Amino acid sequence: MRFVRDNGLSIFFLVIFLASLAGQAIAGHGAFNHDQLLHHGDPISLGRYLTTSEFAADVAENWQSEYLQFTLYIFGTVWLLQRGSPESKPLDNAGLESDEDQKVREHADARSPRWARVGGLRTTLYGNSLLVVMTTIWLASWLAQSIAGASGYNANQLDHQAATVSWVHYLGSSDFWDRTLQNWQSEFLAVGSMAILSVYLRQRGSPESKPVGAPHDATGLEG
Amino acid sequence: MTPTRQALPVAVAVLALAGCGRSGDRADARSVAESFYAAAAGHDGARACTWLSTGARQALEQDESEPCARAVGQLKLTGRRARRVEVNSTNAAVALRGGDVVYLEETQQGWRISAAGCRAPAYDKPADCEVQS
Repeated sequence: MRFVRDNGLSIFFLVIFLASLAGQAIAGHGAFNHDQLLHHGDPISLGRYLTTSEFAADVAENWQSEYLQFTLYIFGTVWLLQRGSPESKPLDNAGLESDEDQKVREHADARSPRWARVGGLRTTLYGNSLLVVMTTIWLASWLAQSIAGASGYNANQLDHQAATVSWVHYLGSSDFWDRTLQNWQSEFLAVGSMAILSVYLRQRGSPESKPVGAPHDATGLEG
Repeated sequence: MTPTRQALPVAVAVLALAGCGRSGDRADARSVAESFYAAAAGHDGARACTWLSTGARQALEQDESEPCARAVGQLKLTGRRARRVEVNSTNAAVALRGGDVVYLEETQQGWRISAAGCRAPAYDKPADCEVQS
């Protein structure tokens, strides 16, 4: 039970991620088969639908935009500030900060991760590991979106007896950029909204909010 | 590396490879296209019609006002052996040597021809086909 209590946030989001992925599969399967029938085709099983490029592209296009959101958020909050927002660092603290503040190298303590202590390339790498991993997952899922999306696009071309396109051509297509940008705009809006709404609004008990009684211009406080 | 961190790169790779075609799809699509053209060339209309999708068969019978087995003999079909096979998700195209392009779809009976005797497909304009669903 202690494990559940100590990891409740991760467990909760893992469970609802799996539930919504399953729901997306079921709803997407229904929509796919509806389109099949409209085109005088045969419906396919749920298991078959899960191996189609249409499903893969629908999943990947959302993953890539989420990881881009976090990539930009992590990187942006190093350098950019928002007066009054708990999402921002204090106004005099933009940038990578001192080794002492970051508790690296000689300023690390006994409980610091080993790579924070050792110095050299390992400490530099560890000090940017969150951004590196988020960026890698973003690029990998965007690549997956492009490959699966090209296949799904070409499947639709073939269904209409039209010529298919190469992957490179697909990267410049309106279909690829429509899928990409419709996801990006919502992610950027969400993060931007959070940055500014948290200046004026509060949620008691959440670390994403300032304390309820904190002034609007207090920056970098967590509730 | 924890199981979750191991699962994520695998999941991304699986997503990328989805739709590249299951093993056997290309061979099956090729076989259906070549079998249809061989049957049509051999004047075996009944056998040829077994390779058409339900939609293609109905469209052919409607256009020619004849049963499929007879109507297929009216089609102007060119080519026998496949030059190129392309599979994308549940759709495929087989380009025949010196001749037509054949379009197929995955049905409950396997790959079946949705359009045959097609020429000059363009990016934004469907090909002209002798028969299509």
